[in-house]
Amino acid sequence: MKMRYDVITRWDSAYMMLSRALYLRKAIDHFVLDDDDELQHLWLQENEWQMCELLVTILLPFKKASHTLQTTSRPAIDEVFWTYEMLFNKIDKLKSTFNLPQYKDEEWAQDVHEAVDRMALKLRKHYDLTARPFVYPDSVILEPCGKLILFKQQTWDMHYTEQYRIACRKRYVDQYESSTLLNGALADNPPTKKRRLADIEDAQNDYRAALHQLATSHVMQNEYDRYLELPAAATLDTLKWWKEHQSLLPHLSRMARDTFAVPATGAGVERQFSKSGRVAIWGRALLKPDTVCEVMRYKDYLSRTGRPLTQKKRGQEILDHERTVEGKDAVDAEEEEDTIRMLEWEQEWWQKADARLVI
Amino acid sequence: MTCHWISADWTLEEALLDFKYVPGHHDGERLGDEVIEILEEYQIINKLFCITTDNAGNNRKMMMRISRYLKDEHSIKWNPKEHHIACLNHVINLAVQDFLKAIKGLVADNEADNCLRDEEEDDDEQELEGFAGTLWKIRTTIKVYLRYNTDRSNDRKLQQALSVLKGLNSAVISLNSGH
Repeated sequence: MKMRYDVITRWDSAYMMLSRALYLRKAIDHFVLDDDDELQHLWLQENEWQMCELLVTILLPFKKASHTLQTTSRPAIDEVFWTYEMLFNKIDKLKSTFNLPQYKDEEWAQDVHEAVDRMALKLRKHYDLTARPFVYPDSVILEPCGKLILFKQQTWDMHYTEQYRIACRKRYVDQYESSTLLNGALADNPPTKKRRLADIEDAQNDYRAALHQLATSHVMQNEYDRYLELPAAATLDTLKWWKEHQSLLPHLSRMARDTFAVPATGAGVERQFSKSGRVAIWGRALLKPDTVCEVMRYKDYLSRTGRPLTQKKRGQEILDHERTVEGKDAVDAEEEEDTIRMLEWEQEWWQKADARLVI
Repeated sequence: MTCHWISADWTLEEALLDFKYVPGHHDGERLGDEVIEILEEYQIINKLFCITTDNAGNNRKMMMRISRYLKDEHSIKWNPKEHHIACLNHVINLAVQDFLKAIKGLVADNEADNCLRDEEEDDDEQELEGFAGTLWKIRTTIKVYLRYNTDRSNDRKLQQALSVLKGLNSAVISLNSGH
């Protein structure tokens, strides 16, 4: 397993460095104390390893949150509020631990306490900015397992639950309820001529028109209300649930389709930057920006469709692509094995850490 | 710039729209114009819902530019604040950085790039105590280890690396680290 050095802009890198160091503690001790005394001054004492452990414990929830959010293969926008909630809870727990009498006079504990405060402050600042974009609460409500559960946690004011529920309903009514369904469930059964004639007659009939108005008003339940009354979903696969309920909730499912497409992370773009590092290599310093762009787009197209643009093989570009993919796979396999080992270690660690933190 | 949507059979799709070098000053107006150009090129500007960005300050202005354009050219009402999603990974990283800064344990911005190159160690750093000292020791150990690993068989280079570390030799050594 390789050692990891942290990089300021790389997500979770401090955590990665520290957790690997802990995992490799014996090897590091051995390395530092080996044969001569050149490196003796780097030897970590017991209390320094303990500090390292403490930092890992504090940073782990942040690393975990960051890790699950990085995926762009399934929706994660509904996890944003939940993640903030979880991180604030962890911070509160840490702070109450440092307020215990046995830590009150410890200088290091107060240092960490202050640092945790700073972290909470930054988190709070960005959390406040989530008040405006409505996809955050809407995605939480449209997630069929939880719906309003998160807003009913004791940390949320009851009045927010109502506010979010009503605002989401309003957006549904304003933007989706009256939209015509071009495709999807209803289009499978186009109305017959007879049926359409009946609709026109209905529309001309004042009594029917009044009934129709009543039906779409708040007195009658709309799809949104019916959705909230449905039993919680048994599957965690949000998109699968919506696929299955598309015919039952044709208009609301369009809202879900828009909402869950929003990425909660810039990881998709960041990954493109990483890929570009394998295109714009030092040996190809003369690449023009436009060429890099073209190659990037082509690579993206290839990986999405799995086939080249034309049937005729475009020799060099494809070879290039294959080569980078192969090279990447070898590195990935090794990294993956390391990651699995670290995850197992982490799980064990987390159980221990949690037990220690419980007051 | 990537684009995300949910397909007809409910799978989340992601595609690269453009990978662009933007010369000059990256102010919000400029970035906004670039985004507009790409969206117009693909003819998807009327389908724009939310934009996810990192926390850079110019992104707010970019959103405002796009909003103004949508209103003027397409008569679409699009509130820049309501459709601006902040990348949560960036937020978490910033919070963690503030934490590390507070315990004086944040790696210097330029240090990371240089971890495999020769560089003179700052002797003052060795006097760091507590968390900062612990982190410094770990980082330095990794640096030495990486140097050592770069060329395991070459003892001379290792010795040089070690002596540089101890501040005994300020001669420039250059290891081919593959960087």
